[in-house]
Amino acid sequence: MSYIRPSFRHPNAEANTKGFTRQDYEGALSTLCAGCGHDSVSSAIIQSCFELGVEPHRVAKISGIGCSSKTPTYFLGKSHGFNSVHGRMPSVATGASMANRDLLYVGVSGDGDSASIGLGQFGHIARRNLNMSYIVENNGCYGLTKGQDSATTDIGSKSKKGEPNPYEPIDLCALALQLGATFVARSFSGDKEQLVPLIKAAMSHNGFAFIDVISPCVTFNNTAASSKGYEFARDHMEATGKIDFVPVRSEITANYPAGFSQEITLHDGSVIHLYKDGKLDCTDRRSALNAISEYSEKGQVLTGLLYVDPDSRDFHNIQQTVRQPLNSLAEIELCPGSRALAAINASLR
Amino acid sequence: MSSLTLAMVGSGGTGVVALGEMLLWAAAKQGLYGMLRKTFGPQIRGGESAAIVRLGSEVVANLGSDLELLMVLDWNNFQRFADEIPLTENTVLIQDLQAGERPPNLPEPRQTLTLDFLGLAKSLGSNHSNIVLLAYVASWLGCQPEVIEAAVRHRLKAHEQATVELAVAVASLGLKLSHDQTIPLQAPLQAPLQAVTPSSAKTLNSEKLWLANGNQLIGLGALEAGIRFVAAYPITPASDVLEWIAGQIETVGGHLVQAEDELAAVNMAIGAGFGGVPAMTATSGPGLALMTEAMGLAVASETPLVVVDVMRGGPSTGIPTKSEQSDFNLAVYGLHGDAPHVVLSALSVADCHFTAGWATQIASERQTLVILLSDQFLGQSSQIMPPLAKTDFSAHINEAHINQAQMADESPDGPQQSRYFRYLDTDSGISPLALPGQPGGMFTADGLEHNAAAIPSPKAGDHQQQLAKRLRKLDSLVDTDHWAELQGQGAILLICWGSLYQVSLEAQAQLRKKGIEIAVMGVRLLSPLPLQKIQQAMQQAEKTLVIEQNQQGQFAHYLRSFDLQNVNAEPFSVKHLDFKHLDFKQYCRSGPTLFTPVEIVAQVEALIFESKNDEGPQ
Repeated sequence: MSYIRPSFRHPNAEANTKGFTRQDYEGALSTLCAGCGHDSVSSAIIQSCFELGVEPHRVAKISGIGCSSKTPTYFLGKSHGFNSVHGRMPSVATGASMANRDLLYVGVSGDGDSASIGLGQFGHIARRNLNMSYIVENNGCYGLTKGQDSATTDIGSKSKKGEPNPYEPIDLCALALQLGATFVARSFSGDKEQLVPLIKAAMSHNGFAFIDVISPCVTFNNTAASSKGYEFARDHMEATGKIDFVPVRSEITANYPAGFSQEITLHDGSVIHLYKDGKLDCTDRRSALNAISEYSEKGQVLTGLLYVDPDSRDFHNIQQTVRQPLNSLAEIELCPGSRALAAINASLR
Repeated sequence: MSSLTLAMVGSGGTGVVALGEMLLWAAAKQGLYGMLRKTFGPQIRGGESAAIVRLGSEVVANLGSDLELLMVLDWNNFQRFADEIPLTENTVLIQDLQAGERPPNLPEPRQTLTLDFLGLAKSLGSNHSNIVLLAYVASWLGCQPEVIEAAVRHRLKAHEQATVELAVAVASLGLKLSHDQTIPLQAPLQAPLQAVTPSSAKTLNSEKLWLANGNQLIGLGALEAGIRFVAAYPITPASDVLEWIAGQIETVGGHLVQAEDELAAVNMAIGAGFGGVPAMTATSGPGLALMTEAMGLAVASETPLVVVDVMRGGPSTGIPTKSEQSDFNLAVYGLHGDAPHVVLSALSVADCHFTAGWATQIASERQTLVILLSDQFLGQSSQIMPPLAKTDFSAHINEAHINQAQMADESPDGPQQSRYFRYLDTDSGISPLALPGQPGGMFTADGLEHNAAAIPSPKAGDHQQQLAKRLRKLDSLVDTDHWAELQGQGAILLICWGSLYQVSLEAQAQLRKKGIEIAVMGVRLLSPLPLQKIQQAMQQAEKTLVIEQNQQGQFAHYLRSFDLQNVNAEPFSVKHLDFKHLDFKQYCRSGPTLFTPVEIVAQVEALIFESKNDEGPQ
């Protein structure tokens, strides 16, 4: 999305509940290829944060390496961030969260970063239920190194040069479900209507919220046959249900059609509404797994909210850490500290 | 110092390591000093094991050269330890009646005592011949019966009451045996024994002594200095750094997370450092190799990080249960790119405490990676020592830096530039560090090369500026007094690092008895290396000998690489340097056998002999 963005904005641009305008959530100009799905995801993140009224300085964007991991430069330019090494974003996020549990952690990763080199870290962060939003921009190839097959490349698909891929792709949603993730969703970068409420819900979830976003690589993997291309995605996506997200403390002003099938209240009181055509009980892990394979067998991709555990206990709950962020505890709060050290010394006698 | 060295050998399950631990504990309670080295086969559980205990009237910081007493419960697998147990014709042997046949080719012991320890234990329905032996030997060493009983109870405190009482009853049989079967003291044993036999005055002091190993003391030093997050992945012999901290860190308000691998462990520590909490991980050689990529990230992103490497025999799985100093090259040279960082070595079991504190302080105040090298010997040897005072080191990532960050934020560079310069090019090279969550201090920490404002930049000028800055911030470290310990003066300067320092000091004392004075330097700051100070010390001696426990002479190679003759030698100018003093000899050999004082004495004497020959018949 390499476009020239005017620095001039309407002086009366709409501000959110915290007084920030959309511009406060934008980042640098994207250097990705024109038409890249990742830029749409960045834009959806900007919109989600604007609508949620997130304070930019309360956000830390963590990423690894790859086209996807470059994108934090292109959104939330006034937030904190750590652009780490390939595949280890989950670990850096874990450490950062242990140091300061109060920030909103947004991890951005790709299929190479999460399904190949960082598969181990991905699996364990899901299992630990770290409180963060984890977005994989899944394009089924290594874009930054010019189009090699990744672990989510379709079997039989042929890259620009080379042989058809002989391996089954890894389904990160199914994997996340098996590993105990407490919020699992799939979306498509071209479907902002679905993606924005999902990101907002993910940011409000207390625990590991995973969104696998099919995000076409226009340069290397946008063929008609690729399940990560625009054409296929538009033709073969089947949503679990139209989703709407109502953040906490917001008045419900919209008139919902009578009899929508599911209403899920998250820990902070925000609500996810799933509309009537929803086919899935989104609080049942097993039916989510079944539905993923069912649609996959039909050659379709199931999108939308797949699973959420509204009573999720995040890593800090499990570890029973103190409420106050560790990095803000001064010597005085650690007062038992010096006494404890004395006890430790005594134990060496 | 008078000392006595005892070794205990058995196959896995006979409890010789427990025997060593109880003996040391009892000795500590009697006011004796001592040290215990446990040694296992690489299978760790279910294999052969041995323990070596050296007791002394003063602090014992190495295992010495000789073995006065060998206790064998089972000769099976003894050969696997033969290299590490210096059996001589002066050694007294106590063996169990059912220990099996003594292997051929061993020196004939000065005296052999064969007793039915197992039979005595079995008479009470127990298999604990080790406890009979403990009580027998401890009593013979002069430990009081109540102290021996307390040692047994302490060791078994997690067990059921019946088990403990049975063990105490078994111990009483050993005590009785020591009255019936006194070991007739042979000449070489008499003097050290009388010296180490505890007096009542020493007993009074015993409550103040500590019993700790280097791995525990690294944990203590780190917690005292302010480490509050530790990410862990188990690896021998570093696991007990992590296990010990796991039991303590929450009491001081911190957290430990067991990671899924070393890659995760080191990156979690980096994440916590980024978040403003002093963080550490500990590992051994193969784990350090896995961590090198992320250590580059810590250097580039200027995130405080302490990595402890408890070295073992390598490469690959190598000899995971035994000691070597062979990760020097990996620690100093292992990072990719131009990655200036700090490498420290702990010079004794007690020094693990000091150096861990110093490492913590350097990492936080200079926003960089500090690798602390310990080794299996320091890490897993328990030592009785006077209590260690809390160090003055402290990690202070927080307030001071935030103030600087606010100042930087006010720099009047126009609307687009009035931002926080995370990587500001300062005189010291240290830039203001803000923490995530701080308004006005927003930045993206980055492994990508960046400019002063933390914006990714591949420009040559930015790269050169940031590289120079990251190097410069370590410069003043070489001015610290902590860089080395230097003892004595003489014609020979002995340079060593890590666990070889204490054994070198004993060699120095032995040489002094022979009328030879030498200087001993234990280098704590391995990188950046204070070259001028080393140069100065070498100038004051006629010959320098570098010793280390690895085959390649890794440190010696490193020292030689600096071309000491051309180091800017202020306050000594180059023209006054006597170049011949700036060369050195090296004595480097692999582990896992420990260096002994006698071995070092021989090397120093050889060097002196060589010098005399060099001078010729003038």
